[in-house]
Amino acid sequence: MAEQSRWDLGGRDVDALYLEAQRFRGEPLSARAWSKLRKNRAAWFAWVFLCTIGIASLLAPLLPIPSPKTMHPVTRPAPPVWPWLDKTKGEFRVDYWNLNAFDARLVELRKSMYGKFQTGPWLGTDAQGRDLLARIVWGSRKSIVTALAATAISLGIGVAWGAWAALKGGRTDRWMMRIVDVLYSLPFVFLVITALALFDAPRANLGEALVNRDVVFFVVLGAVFWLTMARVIRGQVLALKSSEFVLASRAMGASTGWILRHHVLPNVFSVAVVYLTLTLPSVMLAEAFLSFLGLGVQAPAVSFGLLVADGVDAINALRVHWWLFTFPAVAMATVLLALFVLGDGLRDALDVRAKEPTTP
Amino acid sequence: MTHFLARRALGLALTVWIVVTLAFLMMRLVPGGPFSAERRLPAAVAANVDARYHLDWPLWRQYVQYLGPLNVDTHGLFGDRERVFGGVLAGDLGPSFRHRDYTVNQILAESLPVSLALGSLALVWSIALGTVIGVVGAARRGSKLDLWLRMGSSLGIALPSFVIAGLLVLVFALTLGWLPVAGNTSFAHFVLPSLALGAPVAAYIARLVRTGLIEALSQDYIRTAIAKGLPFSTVVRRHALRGGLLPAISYLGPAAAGVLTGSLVIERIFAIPGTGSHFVASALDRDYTLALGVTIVYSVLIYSLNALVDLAYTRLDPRIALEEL
Repeated sequence: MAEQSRWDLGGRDVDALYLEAQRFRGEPLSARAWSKLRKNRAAWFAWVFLCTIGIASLLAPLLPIPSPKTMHPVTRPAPPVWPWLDKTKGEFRVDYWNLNAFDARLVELRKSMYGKFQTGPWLGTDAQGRDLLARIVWGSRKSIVTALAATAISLGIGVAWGAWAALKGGRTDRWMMRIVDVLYSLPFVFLVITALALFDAPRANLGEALVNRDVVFFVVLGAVFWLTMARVIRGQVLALKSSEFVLASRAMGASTGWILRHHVLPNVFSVAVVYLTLTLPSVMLAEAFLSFLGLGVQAPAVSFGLLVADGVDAINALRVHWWLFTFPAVAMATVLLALFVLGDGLRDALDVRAKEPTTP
Repeated sequence: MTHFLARRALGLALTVWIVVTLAFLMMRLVPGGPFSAERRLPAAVAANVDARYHLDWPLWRQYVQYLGPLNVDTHGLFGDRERVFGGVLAGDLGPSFRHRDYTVNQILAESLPVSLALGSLALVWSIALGTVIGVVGAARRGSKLDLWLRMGSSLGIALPSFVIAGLLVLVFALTLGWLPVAGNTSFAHFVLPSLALGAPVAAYIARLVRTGLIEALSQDYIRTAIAKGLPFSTVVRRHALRGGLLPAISYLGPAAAGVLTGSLVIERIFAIPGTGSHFVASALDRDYTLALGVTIVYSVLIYSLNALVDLAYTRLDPRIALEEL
C-alpha cells in the first residue's frame, strides 16, 4: 500500500534523515509568488501602474493641479488645451471640501512648493468651468478609497464567516453555507439600490449625525461581495485542517494556536489576497454603476462613476463635448483593466483556484 | 426530474419570500413615507392618504396584507372599503404610489416587454459573438489573432456597460450618424443599447468558450478523432465543441441576471421606457410598491432562468445527474 511506503525509511537512521531535512530551507510562498509575478510582464506592469496611480491619488493635494471644486462662470465646457500650448498663468486658490489634517498639510506643502502656479485645462473643463484633470485625479481618489473600504469589509465578513464555518464543521457549517447559497440567488443589485435610495432620501428625517452616508455605502457594497470570499476561505481552511503538514505538526505536539498562526493563516492569507484583488475591480465597477445612477457618491464629491455619468450626459447633447466622456472613461478603464490583469496574474502566481478543494 | 423541479420550486418560494420580507422591512423601517417628500399635506388629507394605502396600519398587518391573498382589512372579508392590495401571492403587486391611477401590474405589463426584448436581443448576439470569438481563439491558440481577441475580451470585461454605451453613441450615432441616439420606436433604436448591454456578457462567454475548448481539445477522444483522419474543423465542430461549451452554458444564468441588471443604466442612457428605468426612478422616489414589484418579478425571472440552464446542462452533459444539482 502507498500509505505504508511513506513511513518506510529505507533502513536509514531517523536522526540522519532529520539532519538532511534541516539543510533544506523552505522558500516562503510569498517570495515565490512575487518572483513569479515579476516574470508575468503584463501583471507586473499593471502592478507598477496601480502603485503609481495609488500614490498619485493619495498625494493629490500635492500635485500642481487646480482645485477640483473651484467653478468658473462659463457658458460651455472648455476644450482641452495641450500642455505645450498652455499659456495660462497660475492663480491657484485654496478651495476644497472639508479636508482632513493630512490633506490640509499637503495643501500647505503644495503652496510652499509651487506658490500660485497651477496647470492649465490640459484635459478641458466641465460645464461649470471645473478642471477635468483635477476632477479625474480627485475622483480616482474617491473611487479607490471606496473600493478599498468596501473590499476590506467584504474581506472581514467573508474570512470570519468562512473560517468559522470550516472550523466548526458539521451542522453549523452546513447551515452557514446554506445561508450563503440562498443569498447568492438574491438579486442583490435591486436590494442595494433600494437600501441606498432609502438611506439617501429621508436624510432630513434621519439627521446627518445618525448615519454617515459614506459608511452606509461602504457597508452595503461590502455586504454584497463577501459571499465568494466566504466560500473560498471555507474551502481553504477545510483543506488545511486535514492537510498533512497540519497533521504532522499536530502529531509533533504543536498547539492549535501555533498551527493557526504558522500554517492556517499564512496559507489563507494568499487566497485572501488573490480574492481581494479580484474583488476590488468588481467593487469599483459597482461603485461606478451606482454613482452613475445617482445612488452612490453624491454630487459635490467626485468619483469615476459620476464623471462618466456627466460625460454621457454631455455626449447626448446637441454639441458633443467629447473630452468630458473620453478622459474619465479612459482613466476608469485603465485602472479597472490593470486591476483585472493584476488579479489574474496573482491568481496564477499563487496558484489559487476558485473551485473548492475536495476534502476527504 | 420531479424531485429536481420540486426542489427548485421550493427554492424559488424561499427566495421570493426573503426578497419580499427584506425589501418590505427596509422600506417600512426607514422614516419618511412616499408622500412626505412633497409639500406638507394638511393633517386630515395626510391621514386620508395613509388610510387609503393602509400606511396607518401596524407593520405586521401591512406585511400580511401585502404578502397574501388573506384579507386582513378592518372591515372584514367583504368590507365596504376598497382593497388596494390584492397581495403578492394573488399576483397583485398593488397600486403605484407615484404614478396615480396606475397599478404596478399595469406598469410592468407596459415596460417588461420592452426590457425583455432588449435583454434577449443582447443575450442572443452576445452568445453568438462570444462563442465565435472563443472558438476562433481556441483553434488559433497562441497566434496574433488570439492575442488580439483575448485583449478585446479583457477590455469587454473591465469596461462597464455605460462606458461602452457612451463610446458606441459617440462613434455610431453622433460621428457616423448611422443609428439613432435614443428612443425605442424602431428596431434600429435597439441596436446600440443591445450591443452595449451584451458586450460584457460576450466578453465573458468568449473567455469561457476559449478555455473550455482548449481543455476539450486536449482530451484523448480528440486525439482519436484526429488520428482517424478527420479534418480539424470537423473535430472542433463535432467533437470538441460539445464539451467545450459546457462552462459557457453554466454561465448563462448569471449572464441573464447581468443583462437584467445592466439594463438599469442602459435604459437610462438610451431613454428606453423599460422596467429598469422605472425601477431606478421608483427607488429614488420611494415608490415602495413599484420598487418591490420589480425586485420580485426580476427575482422570479432570474431564478427560473437559472433552473432552466441547469436543466439544459444535464441534457448536454450526461455525466451530471439532475439529482446532484
